[in-house]
Amino acid sequence: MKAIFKIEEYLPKTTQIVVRFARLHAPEPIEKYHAVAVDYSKLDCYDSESFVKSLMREVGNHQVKKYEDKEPIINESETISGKLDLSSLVGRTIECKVENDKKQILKVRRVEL
Amino acid sequence: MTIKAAGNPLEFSEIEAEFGAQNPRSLGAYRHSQTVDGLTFNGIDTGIPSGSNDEIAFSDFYGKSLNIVVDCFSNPGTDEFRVNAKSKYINNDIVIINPTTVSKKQQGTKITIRVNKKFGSNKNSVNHCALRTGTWSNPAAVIVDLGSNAKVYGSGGNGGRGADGVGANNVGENGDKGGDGSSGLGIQHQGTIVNVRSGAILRRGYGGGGGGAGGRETSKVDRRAGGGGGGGGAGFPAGIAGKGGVPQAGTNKAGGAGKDGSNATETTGGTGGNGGDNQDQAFGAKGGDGGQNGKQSEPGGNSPGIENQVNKEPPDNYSSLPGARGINGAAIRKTSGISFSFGVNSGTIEGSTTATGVS
Repeated sequence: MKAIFKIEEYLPKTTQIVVRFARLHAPEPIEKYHAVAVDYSKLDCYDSESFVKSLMREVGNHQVKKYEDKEPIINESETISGKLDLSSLVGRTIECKVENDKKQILKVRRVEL
Repeated sequence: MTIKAAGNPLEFSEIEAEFGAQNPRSLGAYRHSQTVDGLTFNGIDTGIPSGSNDEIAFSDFYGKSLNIVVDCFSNPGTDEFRVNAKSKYINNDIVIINPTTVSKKQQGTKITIRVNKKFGSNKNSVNHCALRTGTWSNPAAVIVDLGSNAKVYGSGGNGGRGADGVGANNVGENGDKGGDGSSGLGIQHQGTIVNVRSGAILRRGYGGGGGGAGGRETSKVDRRAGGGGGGGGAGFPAGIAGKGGVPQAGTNKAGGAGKDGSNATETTGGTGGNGGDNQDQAFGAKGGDGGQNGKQSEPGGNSPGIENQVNKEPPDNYSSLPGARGINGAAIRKTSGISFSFGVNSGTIEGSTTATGVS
């Protein structure tokens, strides 16, 4: 997921910036999302890249995720667990997590003790 | 006291008792117009002729009152905090509408509290107001008149401190509650009229975010992590960030301290700090964001570690409790049992105008 941010105010006296965050593919203009005040003295301001990374790590990631969680759910869904029966899943909408491709359940041999 | 109503003959001494003796001693000497901080009084009281060639009669004085303006407008570059307008009256920070110098009095007088600068509150209670009317002894009227540069703001609540990990028996060491915002204008006099002119702003202070919960993981060793501090709530003064929680001695292997939240500004809430991450095993929760217009302050979060705790008995991930969010102050609040009304209402009012309790 990509995100965007917009600095609304720069307040050097108090080392603060007022920033809005949104997903790049957000359904609303970024101005529709609440601004937050951030103390930039606690961010990595070495260069632009480090600033963006630290801003997102400290504040932006959480804000973007929060907005995403508040967006309306238009598809009713359900969760499943236990024994798999593919035929019973036909036509049902199932809720699941979007995870990193590198994260997966390892195949292991069954060991009888 | 206010001059008696029409119906009985009026003596000149009764006019002098209300408006003071003038020189020359004539009715014409009471024709007067005066402007105070842009607020014009056409007449020594409403309806009494003011022009030097206007006809003036005894009958113009029936039911009229002395006017006194309380000065909440001088030195606009110097902000004031927690002001009682009655104290300004006592300290003679007043202008008497009169062509000559006369004594001040409360009984039967129209008191106009003229506001045209910035006032802030403090953080200790939602009842605390940036500016309050004070209580008055039988005036004819109390009017709060907010000019185009009036800014009367409640303060933002401070962010709550993040939890210091989790207590020894997996109980306690919870995140602190966010501080409450305080309030703008406090009405303490029955029947007060409030004029909010275009450009004036009455704004509540917003609550601070709650401190994040702490986390603990005990599968191999006892690792604990502090919660993030809550963000400050918007207001004047702005809410200060809550500190991140620090895990108990010996339980923080690396990175377990929670981070501080961010201070708010006058109009924007600060963000909650991230929770600590103790060797990717114990996790503190993020502190809640401070509140601002259109956004409630947030409570602190629960430790994300307990989300990873699936079907494990006994569990080895624990969370302490997060701090609750601070509540907002009000734009205008009043003493219980009294009422007020708006005369002009064309400025900006942000927050409740019906809350009770003023201090």
